[in-house]
Amino acid sequence: MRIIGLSFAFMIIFVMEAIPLVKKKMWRELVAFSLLLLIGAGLTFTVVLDLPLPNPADIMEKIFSPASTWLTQVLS
Amino acid sequence: MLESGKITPGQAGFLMIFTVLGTSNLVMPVLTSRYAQMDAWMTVILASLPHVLLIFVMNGIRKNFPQESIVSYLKKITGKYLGILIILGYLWYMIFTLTMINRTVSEFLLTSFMPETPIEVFIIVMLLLGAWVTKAGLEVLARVATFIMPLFLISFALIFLLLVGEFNFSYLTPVFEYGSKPVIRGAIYPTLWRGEYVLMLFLWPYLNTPEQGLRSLLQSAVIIVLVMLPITTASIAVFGPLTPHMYFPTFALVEYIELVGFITRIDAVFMAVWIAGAFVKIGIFYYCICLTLGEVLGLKDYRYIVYPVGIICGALTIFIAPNVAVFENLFPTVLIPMNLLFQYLMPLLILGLIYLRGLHKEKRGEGDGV
Repeated sequence: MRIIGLSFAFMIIFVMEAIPLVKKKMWRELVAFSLLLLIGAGLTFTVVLDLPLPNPADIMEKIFSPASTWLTQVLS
Repeated sequence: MLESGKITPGQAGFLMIFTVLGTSNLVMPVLTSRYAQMDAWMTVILASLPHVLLIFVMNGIRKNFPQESIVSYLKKITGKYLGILIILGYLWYMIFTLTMINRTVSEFLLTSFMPETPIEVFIIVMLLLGAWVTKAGLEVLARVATFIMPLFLISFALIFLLLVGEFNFSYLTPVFEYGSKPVIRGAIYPTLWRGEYVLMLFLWPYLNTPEQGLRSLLQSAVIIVLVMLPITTASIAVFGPLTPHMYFPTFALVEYIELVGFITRIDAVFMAVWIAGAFVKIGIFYYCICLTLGEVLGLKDYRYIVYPVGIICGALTIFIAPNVAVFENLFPTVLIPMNLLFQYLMPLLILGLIYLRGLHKEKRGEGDGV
């Protein structure tokens, strides 16, 4: 049900924004818009369906863990 | 330059006040008093030292490249590919910060007012507002900020004035109970919030008189101290040792207000003003993301990518943390190192590179024989 609703919302956004772009023949903007919308839709479906995608916050936690442990040591 | 509108330095100062105060009024007394205990009010003053330094560093950077956006001059300073990489880093920083802001505001609304509503509702509503103001452009955003600012400042003045009888200043003593180190540690969070001034790197080219930007930013820094100092002091003087264990102490202060004996529950009015402030903050970040992304992708107008960016941010807002506990854990583990890197280290590095590579103004002037 939520998938259908979300897909419907994305379709509306796509139609609303893409038609003027096609009319004005702004292909670069159309490609950028479609790609970003696709990423957004993919992320949303991942969240809704609880798919096992690595959490960006966890990845950043790993990247920054040396810095954050060092900071904690220095300041405590 | 994707934005044709111009704002005045004063409006830029207002916008930046909102980037700091938009959410720090809600969470800052807790975050600082968790480390600094009853000395939390000192962190407000301590945090303004790196803040002022950052303003001067940004002024030093933009002075050498007037009328140029950060995307175009970073490519000159660091070379094309490294420049794009740094800009992408900044984009990710802004997207992540936007999701953190949005989550904070949504959690605040959820716990304080509408515990039965799903959190997605607040997230979507705030992002729709942000998308609307981003599509309207920078000038509209600046005017919204100018319009809300007096209400915002009055709300803080009211808290202080109406509660001054309830203060128990003995909570503030002894000063430096646990030495100076917890105070320095507590000052990290306000430092991070002030560091959101780094967005001026993106907005400075759109000032109509860029050379006056420094002055109005320094004035706004003073206003922030003048607002946060009474608020933090009030939280501690009223709630004392309870402050570190609350979620939103400033809001608890508002609920505490009782006007002339019978007017109570004025918290809804305050909430309306504060949500408006948070909306401006979200709007600024949203705007900077779309503007910079549009310029990196080489689009003719940033307005076409506003909705997709909003969808990505909305999904990330729910995705980054399944619950409040995990979300709060992100503050020390991700927010501190990431923000210190992008807000303080990176501008310093850029400024250093400008001088190392001899791209600064005086040198070029001599070369041209001017």
